[in-house]
Amino acid sequence: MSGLVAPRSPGTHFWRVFFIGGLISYRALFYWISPWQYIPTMLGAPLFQILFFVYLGRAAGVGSTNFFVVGNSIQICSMAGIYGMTMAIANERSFQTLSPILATPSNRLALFLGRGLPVLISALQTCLFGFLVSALLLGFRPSLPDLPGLALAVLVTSASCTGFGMALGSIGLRVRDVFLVSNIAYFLMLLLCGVEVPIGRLPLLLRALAQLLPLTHGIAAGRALAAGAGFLTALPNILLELLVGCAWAAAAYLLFAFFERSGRRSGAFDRL
Amino acid sequence: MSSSAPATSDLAVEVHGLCRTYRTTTGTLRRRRLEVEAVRGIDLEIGRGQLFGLLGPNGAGKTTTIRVLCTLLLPTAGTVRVLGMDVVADARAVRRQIGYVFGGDRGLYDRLSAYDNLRYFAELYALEPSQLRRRIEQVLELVGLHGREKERVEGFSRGMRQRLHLARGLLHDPPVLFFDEPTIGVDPVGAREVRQLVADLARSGKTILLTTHYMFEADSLCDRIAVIAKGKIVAQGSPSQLKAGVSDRTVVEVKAYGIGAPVLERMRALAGVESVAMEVSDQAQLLVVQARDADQLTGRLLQLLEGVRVERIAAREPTLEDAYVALVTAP
Amino acid sequence: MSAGAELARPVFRRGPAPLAWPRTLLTGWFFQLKMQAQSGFMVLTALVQPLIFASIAMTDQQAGNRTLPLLYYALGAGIMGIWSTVVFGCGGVISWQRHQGMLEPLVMAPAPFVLVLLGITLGTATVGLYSMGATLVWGWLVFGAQLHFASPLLFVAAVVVTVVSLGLLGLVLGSSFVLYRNSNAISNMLEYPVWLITGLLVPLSLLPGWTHPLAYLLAPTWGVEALRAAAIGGDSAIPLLWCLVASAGYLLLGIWLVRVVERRARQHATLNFQ
Repeated sequence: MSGLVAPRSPGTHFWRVFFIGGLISYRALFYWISPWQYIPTMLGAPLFQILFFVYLGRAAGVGSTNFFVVGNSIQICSMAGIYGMTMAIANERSFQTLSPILATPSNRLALFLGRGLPVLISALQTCLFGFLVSALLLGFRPSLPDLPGLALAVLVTSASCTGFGMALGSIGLRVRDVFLVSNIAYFLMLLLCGVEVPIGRLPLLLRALAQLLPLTHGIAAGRALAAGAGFLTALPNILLELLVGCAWAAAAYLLFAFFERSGRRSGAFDRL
Repeated sequence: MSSSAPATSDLAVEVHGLCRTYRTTTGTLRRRRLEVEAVRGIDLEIGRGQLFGLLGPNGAGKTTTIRVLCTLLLPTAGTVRVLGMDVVADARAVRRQIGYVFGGDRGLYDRLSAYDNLRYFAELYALEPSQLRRRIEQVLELVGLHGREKERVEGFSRGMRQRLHLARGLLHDPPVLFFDEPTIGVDPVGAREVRQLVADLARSGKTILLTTHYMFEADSLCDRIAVIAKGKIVAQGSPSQLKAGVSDRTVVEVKAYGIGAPVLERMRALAGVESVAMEVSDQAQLLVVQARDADQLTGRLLQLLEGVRVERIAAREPTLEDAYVALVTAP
Repeated sequence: MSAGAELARPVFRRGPAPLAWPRTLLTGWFFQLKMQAQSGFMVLTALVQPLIFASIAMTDQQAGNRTLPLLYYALGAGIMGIWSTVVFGCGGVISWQRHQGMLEPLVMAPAPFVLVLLGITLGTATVGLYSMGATLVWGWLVFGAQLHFASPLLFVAAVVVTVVSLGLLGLVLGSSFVLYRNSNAISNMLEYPVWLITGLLVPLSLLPGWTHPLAYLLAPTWGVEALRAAAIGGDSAIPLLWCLVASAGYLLLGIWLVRVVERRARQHATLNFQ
């Protein structure tokens, strides 16, 4: 049977699995892909979320419109990051396509990261939408010279949420009700990462926990930039966010490798 | 229990010109409408107290027909009456008088116990509350689930679920019962018990319509059978009447190895041969040759099979299954 | 099986069919509640969101102007939970029943189908009471909210009326969702807007006037007002009355919708996956 499969250089193979494989699996598994599903879930819900918390802040007399706009617009990327990645892996399990995929010789890193790329793009889209809508409806006016910095903060936060989502998704290799874990994580982050509640108001333990989660530093950087504090002021937080994201992505990779090995031993992949 | 066509006044089920077409759309961007004619004009009459069998291959329209009779589906054309009531106009009245047992793994609340499942439906059928417990115990006893009623259905085997379906169908003691493949997926002992119950119910005066794949089931249980293929009834009558339709035929069964397509063609072309059905089992091929006015059929077949390793060749009397195959595969 | 055994004839309810309806409804309600309340997954999902939102609201209150008492937010977050349960549990009620293969047996039973569905949606709405209880306890334990009820009897009445009205609204949602493809995506979009305009965590006075008519059509607006009045103080009779009026409206709409749905399902053979 030689000659039927053209040998590829490992590099090409990596990038093909990364881009094309990632895109195809995204279409196969991301339930919200049709416009009828995408618009209400990824655009409609975030829009109302921003409005909801802005008004809540007004009712409680806490924070400013900008506080909630920046917080929520950036937080939105965690929805794509967490649920997108969880779906990407957990749904493989429910369709029972996980075993066939793991049986292929493809590079695990490419496989894994490739799924993250479309999710990341989706996350960026929703964040951008959030900011646009806030500018239109709520009079959000960020400091213009700091816009590139803000964009960077959003990019880095989206990436770190995607990394976090990968870690949660890996758990989906083993745990059946992984969406419960994702739900809890998503809502905990809403409470702890300074999205709606100033971090200073949280008890010490929770404040410490928040430092280890994505969103916290990215949102702090975003708020500083929107207020015109300047790029250098926000840079430490951006770097911290990047660090957190990389740590979670590394954890994801290790978890995936561990679960894959133990799953192969115990046959857990096809057990629903 | 008469096996002849019943008199009009005795009819439990009357179907005239039943048609049912499904319209589906395909494609996402350019939607195309497809029309599938599942039932293309069926006439049926079932007398009170008869056990009527509806036989047909998958996709023939059996399930569609039975669903129309159960008021679950609206006919596209034709009239259907159960106990004199129209299934479209008087659906609720019809529902009080019929029971539908369809089997399978779905159709029960897994998280409730068998008892609770029955209790819920007993309320839906407006049984007298003070007598509910007794009634439920009676049907559970009848289907052999007595003692298991407090267990959750999610732990039930297929056979037990089937019994629970039966129990639910019998709760309100309907005079007309529709069974949709009641023994499919059930173990042989359980299946035998289901058949026995169906026979007992028929004997006690209930009108029963049964759909099944199993010839021997239809043969042994039913007073009358209708064979349905591609949405039309191709034959109707008692089992013996249907067998008589093929009684002038000879059936030869051949088990051989390595029969090629040209040989099959030549067999089909033999004078008098009506059909040659082939089934592949492991390495062997099983042929069933039906022929009319076939002199020396066995001999002529052997001639064609020269060079082929023949393990067994035998002529026999046609059975209901042969009649069925002949009817269903006719062009 | 006792082969050959003959069953005695069953005894049916005497009197006209409608006499059986209350019992049918209550039985359905009870069994649905029994099934859902036992699912750990459902219960946890009903708890996580309301507790987090209650915590956010109450923390913000403590950091802010403290004009609204903590109980205000606890009750609001509780109703938010019931609403989520209703949107996700009742919106898909028909699809879920179909998935379990229950749609056919339920339609075939002579009891009116709307009654059957209503039992299911009421049961689902009742599960939302977990959210209510949880936010109250949480507010008291963690934030020191004062669980003082100005009129306990009216409070209980308000709870019952709110749950019933939300169950009826769930019936409307459930029967209209099935008529439109992709409606489950709309469910994702129904939480925040309704939470916002019905004044669950944000007083109606802070919202633009044009949202008010919409809010008045929705049961949570009246339910939460009645609950707050009964707990914190104020007139709960008027909101309760309006809640009942809204419920009656939902019931009529629901009856009509279910009739349309059943006819359509029998027309297009969608009672079962075939």
